[in-house]
Amino acid sequence: MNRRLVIGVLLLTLLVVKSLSAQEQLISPHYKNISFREYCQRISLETKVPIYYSSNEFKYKIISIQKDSISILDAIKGVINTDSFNVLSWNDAVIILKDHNFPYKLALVKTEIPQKETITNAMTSKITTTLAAARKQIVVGKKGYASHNSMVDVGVTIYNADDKKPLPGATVYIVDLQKGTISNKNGEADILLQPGKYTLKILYMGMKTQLYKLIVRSTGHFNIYMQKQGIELSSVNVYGDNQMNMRQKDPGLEKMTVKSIREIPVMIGEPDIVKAAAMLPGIVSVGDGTSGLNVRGGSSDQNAFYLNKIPIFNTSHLFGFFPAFNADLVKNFTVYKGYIPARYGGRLSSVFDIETRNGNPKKFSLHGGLSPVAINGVMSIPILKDKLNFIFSGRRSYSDWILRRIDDPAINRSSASFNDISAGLSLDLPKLHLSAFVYHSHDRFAYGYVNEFQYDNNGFSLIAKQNYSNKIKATYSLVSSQYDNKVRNYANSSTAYSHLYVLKQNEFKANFDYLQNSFNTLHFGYDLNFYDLNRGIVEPIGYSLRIPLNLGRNKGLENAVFVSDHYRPWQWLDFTAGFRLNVFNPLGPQTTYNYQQGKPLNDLYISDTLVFNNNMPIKTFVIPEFRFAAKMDLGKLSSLKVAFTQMHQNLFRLNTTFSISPTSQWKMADYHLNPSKSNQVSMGYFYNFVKQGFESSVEVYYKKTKDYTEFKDGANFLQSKNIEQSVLQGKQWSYGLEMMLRRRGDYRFTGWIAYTYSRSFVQINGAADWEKINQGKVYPSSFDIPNVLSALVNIKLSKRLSFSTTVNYQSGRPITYPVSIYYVNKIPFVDYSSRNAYRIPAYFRMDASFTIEGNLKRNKFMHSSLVLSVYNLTGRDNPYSVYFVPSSTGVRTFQYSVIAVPIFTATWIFKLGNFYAN
Amino acid sequence: MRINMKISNGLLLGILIVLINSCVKEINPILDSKQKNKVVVIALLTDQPGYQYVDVSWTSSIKKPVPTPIKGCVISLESKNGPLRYYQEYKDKYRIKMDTNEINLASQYRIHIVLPNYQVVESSWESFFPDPPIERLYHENESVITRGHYNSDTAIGCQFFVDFKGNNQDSRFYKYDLTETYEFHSQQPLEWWYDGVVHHVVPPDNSKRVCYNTMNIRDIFVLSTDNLSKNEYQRLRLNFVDKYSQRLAHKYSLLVKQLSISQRSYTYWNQMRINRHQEGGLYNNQPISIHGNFKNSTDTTLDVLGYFDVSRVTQKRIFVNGGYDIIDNSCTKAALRMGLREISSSDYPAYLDGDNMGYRAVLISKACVDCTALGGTTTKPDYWP
Repeated sequence: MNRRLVIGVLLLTLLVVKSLSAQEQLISPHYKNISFREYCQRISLETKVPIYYSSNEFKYKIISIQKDSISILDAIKGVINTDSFNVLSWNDAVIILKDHNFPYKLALVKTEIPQKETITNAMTSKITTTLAAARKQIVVGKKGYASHNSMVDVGVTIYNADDKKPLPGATVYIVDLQKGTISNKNGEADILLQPGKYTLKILYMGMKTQLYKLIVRSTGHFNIYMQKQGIELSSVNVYGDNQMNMRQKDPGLEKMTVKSIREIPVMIGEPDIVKAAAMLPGIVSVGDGTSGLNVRGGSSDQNAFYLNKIPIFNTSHLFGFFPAFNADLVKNFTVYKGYIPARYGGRLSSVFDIETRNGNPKKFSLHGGLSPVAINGVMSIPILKDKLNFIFSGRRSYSDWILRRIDDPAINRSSASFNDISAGLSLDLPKLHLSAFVYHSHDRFAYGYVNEFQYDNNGFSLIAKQNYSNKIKATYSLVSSQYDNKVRNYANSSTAYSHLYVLKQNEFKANFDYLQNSFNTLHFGYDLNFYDLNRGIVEPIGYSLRIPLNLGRNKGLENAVFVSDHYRPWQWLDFTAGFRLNVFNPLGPQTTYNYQQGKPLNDLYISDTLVFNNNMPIKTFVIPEFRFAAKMDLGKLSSLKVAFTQMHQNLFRLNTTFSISPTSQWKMADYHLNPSKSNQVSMGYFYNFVKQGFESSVEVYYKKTKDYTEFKDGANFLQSKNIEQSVLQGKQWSYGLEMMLRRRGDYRFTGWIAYTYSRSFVQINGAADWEKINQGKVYPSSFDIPNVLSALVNIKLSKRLSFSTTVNYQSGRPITYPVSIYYVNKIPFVDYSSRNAYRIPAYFRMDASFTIEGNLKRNKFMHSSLVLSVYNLTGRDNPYSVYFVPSSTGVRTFQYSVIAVPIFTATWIFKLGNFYAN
Repeated sequence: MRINMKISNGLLLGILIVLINSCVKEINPILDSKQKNKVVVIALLTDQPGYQYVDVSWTSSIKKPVPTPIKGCVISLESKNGPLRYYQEYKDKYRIKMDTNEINLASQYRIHIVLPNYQVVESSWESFFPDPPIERLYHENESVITRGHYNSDTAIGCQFFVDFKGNNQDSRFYKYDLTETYEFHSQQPLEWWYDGVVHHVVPPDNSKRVCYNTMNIRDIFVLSTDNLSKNEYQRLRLNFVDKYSQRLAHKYSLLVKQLSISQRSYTYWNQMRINRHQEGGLYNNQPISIHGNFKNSTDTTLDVLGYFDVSRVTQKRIFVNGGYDIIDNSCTKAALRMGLREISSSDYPAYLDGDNMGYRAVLISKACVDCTALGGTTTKPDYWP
């Protein structure tokens, strides 16, 4: 669109002129002897309101003004002759017309673009554009420096206009060519173009989309400053194998906003980013009211969760009914499930990397929410403006009152509560960013005088990001995490016990990025982890006769070095190759046993006792891991991506129940248990339907795990300190197909539909009979769920109203079913099939939510919104598990459902300021 | 849909969420009813004189389960320090009579079975373990949440407990077999009945007013003191008798047999107990196929279910006087609005309510006048006070 507007068009459109925001916004201009052009630019920059006028009229006008709290219109009227000019507000813009009356002949109005200039030296000069509302022109390079048929490299760096920080992941799109790229972590993007004229579109979630007329003359570079659009949306990035978007390079990303997560219907009003991730292909929730996720056919302990680099060992409150992370605090949420960068290790299936927001660097802010069971708030305080800021988040349940009102002594003597707090301090210096973060979560529930459970996550991280030069950047992190789990069981006075176990992980990590050139980036670093798992003492309490049983302590030291290189040899190809070398030493003190050759591992066959002193290496595991990912563009709209990832895992969670139970235990690889190791290959094809705004992807993967740990039939992990007697190790493998069709962007209807076909199997087939599970035959893992379909539809009914609905379907999980009945003293008993030979019925759930924003007045103390959601809209009694009772007429089968009715929830969300306030 | 609120594992969260929203319903999944049958052997050798039994059967279809005994087996009891003894087929079981002096408590025993298809099934060698007397057997009135599959209720009834006290030489593992006996009454004497003709019994027949029923408790009770500092245990919960029958109306007796067993046997029976009490809750263990101490020596790939226990036995009996506020629906009455013609001949003999003045047009169930209709016998047990 031409920068000059035809006044005739204005005349027509002025008929619908109405009171607009430019009139409402107040400014305080204090300027002396500046040109009228500069005066308008400054007002536009401050208010984001474009000002249109004929530049010739004010070419030589010099402005001096000292006013406070006046409207934009008044600020303009105060410096021009209002007898000669008419100042109007129109469509969020200010227009200055020369005559009082509408002109009867067409005249031109020029749109001024601040600081626009033609680049003459592409490598040194930069263009800064700031007015997003108008179409602007960017000229790159110098005439005559490139032939018309040659390709020239056009570079752009994209910044957030507010904090001047680069924006990674912004889309740079040449509309005419239907060609685009994505800015890297420094906000930089390069695109090869022939000299000519193009329409350039810059998109970024939460920012105003910008359109430019791009005139390319030769190689050059320019900067773009993007303005916020509406509510600042914290973003959630989900990375797969460069998946989901053909335009992403390394790695591709999936974006969900925290706002959209909040719109996803939830069970009791607490938005859950982990459960939202389960809507994506390849990620499956274990079930209603549980905390487990199964990623690409892996068990739930194969996922690592990092909150600002702090490992979190229990990601939910009250064992899965509520999320452990306050969604309001989350800034970036990244899930790696295919290609996992070399800087990560320690889990076989996925890495969930959660980064919290920094505080608002400019002003105090406060927002929070109130749900039926909990209240939460996030407060941000700038201590030194734009330099040092502080953020605090807190959440607390108040569910106990519900229990006290239930007319059952066993229940009203019970309690259930949780809370979590976190605080962050961040300091921005010219080449150094320092941040400190602490996190604490606490859960407690007690059932009458029967049992009591308590667990805590505590963590601390100190992160320093240093820019040594334009080419070398480093991130140093010092992390400490502790997970405590305490169980008290009073069910029987003779065997009453308490048990506390503590898992600590301390980590130092140095991560370096070396930008060799715009096509080649080297990442390398060192990672040191110290694990200390005190499995605790099962102690008698009260009149218990139980013998105290010390389950022992495991310590381990893991050193890792890693290096990876991201290289883009051609515009259509980029790949990343990485290597990670892990050396893991389980450490003493520990007393362990050797067993007689060829005999089962139990106390009867102990042949030798091995005593390891404190910090003495018990064993050394050297585990090299290779990682590789490549992306090939197959055209303007499609790409093919492949990845190969090797991972290992030293920490296992031991669990014999359907879901992660309060008594599940962590165990480290040791003298008898080897770390699990996996290889995964995956490939994906991605295609974008640009006109319709759809992105599509198809991915396949195959993952094989060695030394997968599985419990023996009837295992009880609280009975013996010698875990090797209760578990066996074998093979696990999975494969699958993941498909996704998504629409996102500035559409009224957005959302996605995702389908996953996957299988997951286990085989424990040792040489001796006692080294086998299921007689050594292959059986489906407990998380083998072949078909999963999930869909999300968001409908923006208006700026203040939106509606969301989700649909989830998944095949039933494997289960061991009865196959026959036999009688013992006339009592019927059930004989069960081989392990996991059958499936429970399929799972289907539909949810809906309706979000109502408060009014959009600019000047208001507090903005509110209300989220109304219905979980399990159809009231379907989805099976959680199935069990069997023999009877005289056969086996009666009963289905157990956790949530069998629709649950309606209203959540109130508030924040200081207006709709746009951060 | 009928919904049953239930408690999951006693966890509070189960209470909070499950009570409000969870449900249990009966479903009909497609189960494989064509599984190959397995041999099941349940054998017990005790130190008590008298008959010792072995039960050999096939597993049965899950759709139409029926006890399927295997007849024609040759079963022998092998002793490491004694003669070979053969069991005799008796009804659907096999038995052998042994006197006290024929049982060597220091010896090891095993069962050897030749099936009719000539396959050989053997148990492992098993030993006796010392069994101290039952320390204390007692009961308390309790209010419990009954866990029916459709209905839940807070029931008041009688909970039985046992205290155990052994020494270091005694076994650390025990199994309890329970047998209950109770007295119950029909509501009224037999006076009027109808088989096309109304009969009046004069004087009213009271011969079937009082009955006694003896039944094995259909549950498994096991105890391990293995992880305890002393070989003692208090308040091991046995069976609970609720108010929904006449058990606690007149007099109730519980006979508890305490069997000292091996650790392997305890693991077997405990897993049987866990499988039997599956409730599918959030934190329930997954059921598993359980294997005992038998194996098929002819074809080791074929599973053999069951267990051969060698146990010393002590026992104790307790009586509970009646008087509980019970709910008994065994005697039902239906008004005959159209008179006796409502009674079909297939219902003969039909019993009528009435007194010495005449009968009323009220049909009563047989249990109202004949307690044996509910099982049991009118013969008073010897031990009944």
